[in-house]
Amino acid sequence: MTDAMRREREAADWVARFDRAALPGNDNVVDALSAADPEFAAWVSASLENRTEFLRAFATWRRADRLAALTSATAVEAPARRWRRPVHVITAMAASLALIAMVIGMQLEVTGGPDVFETAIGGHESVALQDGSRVELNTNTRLTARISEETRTVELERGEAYFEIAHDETRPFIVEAGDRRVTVLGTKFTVRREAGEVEVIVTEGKVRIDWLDAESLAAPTVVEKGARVLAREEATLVAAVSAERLNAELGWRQGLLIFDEMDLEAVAAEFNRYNRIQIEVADPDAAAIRIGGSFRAENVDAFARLLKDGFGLKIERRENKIVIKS
Amino acid sequence: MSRRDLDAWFVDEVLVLEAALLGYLRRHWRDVEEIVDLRQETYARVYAAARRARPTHVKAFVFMTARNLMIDRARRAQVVSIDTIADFESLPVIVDEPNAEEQLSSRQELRALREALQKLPRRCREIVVMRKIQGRSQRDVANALGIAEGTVEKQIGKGIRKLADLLYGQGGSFAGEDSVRARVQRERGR
Repeated sequence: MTDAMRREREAADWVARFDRAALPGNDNVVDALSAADPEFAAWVSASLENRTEFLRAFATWRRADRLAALTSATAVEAPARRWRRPVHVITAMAASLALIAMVIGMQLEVTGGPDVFETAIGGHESVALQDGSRVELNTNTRLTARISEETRTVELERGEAYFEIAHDETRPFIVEAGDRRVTVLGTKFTVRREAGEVEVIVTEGKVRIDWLDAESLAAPTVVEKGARVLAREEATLVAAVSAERLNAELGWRQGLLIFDEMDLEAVAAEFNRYNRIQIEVADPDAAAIRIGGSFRAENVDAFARLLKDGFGLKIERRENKIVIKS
Repeated sequence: MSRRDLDAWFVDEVLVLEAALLGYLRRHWRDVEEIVDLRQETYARVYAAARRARPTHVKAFVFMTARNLMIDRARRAQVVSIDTIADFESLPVIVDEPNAEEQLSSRQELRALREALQKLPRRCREIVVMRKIQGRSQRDVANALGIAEGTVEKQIGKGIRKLADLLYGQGGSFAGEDSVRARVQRERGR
């Protein structure tokens, strides 16, 4: 090893050693650290090469702070197998088997690796996390839970979930959905992720929503019970939700879709989230018809019949598709 | 300029030129073993000079310093012919280096960081992720992985060394496309 390479290593090792405690700010870092550590003071003042090499290592580690804007899952493809929990895929049919697997999995693993939960289209599952929190997964949903002694993080990869969080002030509960991070301050709420949009509805308590985009300096949004937040790119909209609306939004927990004067196009889109058989509204007149009431999410045929009987719409059944025309 | 300002100036204005500087050194110095050494001495000389007066054209100044350093070394070694030294002296100091040092936007910076992270060895990367993304202390990381704190510190030192080379030495995420661009420019220049 050349002297230069040794110096490069020593500089990095000094930064790593100081990183054990909190690193000082960027200003005057060499002087601050020299004052605190005579051994370092001697090393860093021995040559200008040492000083500039230290500045290089320190600046590198500071730059790496920006990594915090990433989520663990987007930063690295997969954690090491050693620390990984088995993947639990839950479908309506395999739920009981999967739950058994999950219990075994939890007994075998002690450290905080991830748990993956998944529902198929039309699926609906309730799972308990290790910290006592409960999560209900709606249709076509996948999430990864990482519960450790220090942190509680759930990454919502797709779909929608309702959370009832076990109170624990020492470990904030974080839900990451796309470029939004929802930090829970003890509460019940849903997060839904769809096509670049994240929706959060708070039914109890308070949550904080951060935008993870690197260029954002936007202040976090803190919302309370009864609030509905829609976030897409730089926009974060907050609206109050009425009790009925709240009820409707959470209808899926009972397997129901509840609509209050919603146009057929939106209603069809909602049904399509839960069923492989997709509703297609063929013309604008039909799309504009307003629908109210509650329906079983999986019973798309009953809904189509109702449209025929109640609104005189034409229903055409094709393979995996129901076409609705006026 | 106070020392503190000088340190900040060095990081903001000089370190960002590292990819271009290394390219320049490698093209004109045959012994690759000595490149790190040349880089370090170039930095020390630039830093010492800036203590007296901060250069206005930083990039040209860094290249000039590197060129003079190579001339000094070649003379001292006395193994190179006069021709080689004359060659050095005619070297342009404003070279058509790729603009890897241009300020990266936040988005590009994040991409560069993510790519650098992917290139770390697995164990080292995991520890950097726990430390920087999950924000856990070195002690927390050691406890969670069931390893000694000293091991975590060592891995972090290694991570810093590799990240420095990836982020400064290769100009963040632009290393790949820039080396191609630089080659094209060089060929055109012929």
